[in-house]
Amino acid sequence: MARFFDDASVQYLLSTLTPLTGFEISMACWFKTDDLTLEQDLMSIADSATNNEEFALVFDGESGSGEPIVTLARAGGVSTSASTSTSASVDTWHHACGTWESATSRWAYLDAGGADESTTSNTPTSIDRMAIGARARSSDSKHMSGAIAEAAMWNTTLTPTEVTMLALGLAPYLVRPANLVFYMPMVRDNDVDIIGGISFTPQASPTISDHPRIFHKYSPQLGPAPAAAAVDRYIELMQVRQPVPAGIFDI
Amino acid sequence: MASGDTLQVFNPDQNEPPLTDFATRDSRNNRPCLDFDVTTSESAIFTGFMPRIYAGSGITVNLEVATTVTTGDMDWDVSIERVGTVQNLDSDGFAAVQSTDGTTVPGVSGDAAIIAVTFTDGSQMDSLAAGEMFRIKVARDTADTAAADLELYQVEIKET
Amino acid sequence: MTLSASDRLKLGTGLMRYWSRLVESHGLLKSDLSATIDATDDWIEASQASYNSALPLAAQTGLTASQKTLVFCIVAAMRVSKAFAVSLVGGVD
Repeated sequence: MARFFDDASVQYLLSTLTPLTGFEISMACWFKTDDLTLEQDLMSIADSATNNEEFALVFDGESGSGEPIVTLARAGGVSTSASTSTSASVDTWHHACGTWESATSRWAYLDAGGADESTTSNTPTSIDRMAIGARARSSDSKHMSGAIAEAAMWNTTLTPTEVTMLALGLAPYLVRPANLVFYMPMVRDNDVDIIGGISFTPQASPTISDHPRIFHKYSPQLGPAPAAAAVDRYIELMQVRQPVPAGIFDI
Repeated sequence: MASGDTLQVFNPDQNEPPLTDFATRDSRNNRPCLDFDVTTSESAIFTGFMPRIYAGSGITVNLEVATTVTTGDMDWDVSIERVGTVQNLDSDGFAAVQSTDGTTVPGVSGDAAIIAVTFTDGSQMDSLAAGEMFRIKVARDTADTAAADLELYQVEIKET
Repeated sequence: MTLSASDRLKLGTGLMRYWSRLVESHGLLKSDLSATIDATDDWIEASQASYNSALPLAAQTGLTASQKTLVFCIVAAMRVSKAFAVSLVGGVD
């Protein structure tokens, strides 16, 4: 079950913490919107004191140029963004990914395609909190209308091949696990980051909906299954010490 | 390995969801499960390896399930695809489903039940032999009467 | 006019999925729920005149049939829960 947000009720998840405050950043999640006419923040980290500083992964239904994914960097009240050349469809699961390598490079991906880069220099500062389904600025906005699941962040710039791996359905901890700093599967109302332990406070009671198609890789168990705690430990070990070998998931 | 011994166990996170109509990831009391929809027949697929000590007696697939309703029955379909060295990997080759239909749901929401689906050795198992890779598909037959999602918590394959 | 058979079926599917998400138990078979939806829609159809007569005159003449239906629904929704009513029309302060 994914998390479902109703923008009319101003539903989203908010944390007073953030796993990252600056470059390099990669954000990714699965989303399913029921409204193609709104600008909706999927994930954002921002300055809680102003409306002027943020990094945001956005579905932009207001752009007037299709329904793309936008990778936004806003500093001093000035926004710069990359915008995919492809569009999302309503009531359909899509994968969104944004990378911010530096002040002069940010990329947006929709289902690992439509890639676009923006190179206009911009460096958001004073980033101190995070939101899922809204912009985490002083005045929350750009509320999600639909479902979000499998939200993750890395402290590096994912490559196009790695974005493809995610868009094929691999769970985030299988992609560059050593750099994964935030992962919230968002199954039902488990609003906890299982990597960094950041917890979120639901705003206005978001609900739940069906989960997208995700692959978690374990070896087949011959004999008794592992206990839940052992599974959690497996994830921890995978993330810390066993990056996916290069080439194993070459497409 | 003797009759009644466990050959393989699969948990929800080992699901390899098909492209469409896939059972969806959920949890109940923090226990991972797969939800099978009430009106759209959804399936879950797991890849396994038949242990070399499988003695050829056939298998019983035990499904650990639960639901939220307290009346009605559930129908489950299970099928095996032998991979080994005989299956072209660009296509699916599941044998005919074996079903266990009409099992009354537990009388209390959240009570677990075990559904047993039996396969004789040979064609029912797609002629899967010891030491071969295989896939097993678990699906809900929505002709059943339980008016809620069915939840799958574990799949055990044992020698019959 | 009552809902179409197709819409009634979709309602039943939606309800079953909704209660499943909430992990909310109930004691109906699929066929029982279908019959319940049919009976509810039939009752609404048969009670339209009675409901309209119960409304203040201003509402009888000042609201469209669709608006009257919405009023009925939002009052019923509020009886389910405030959150449910809010999900339909937004802020209910």
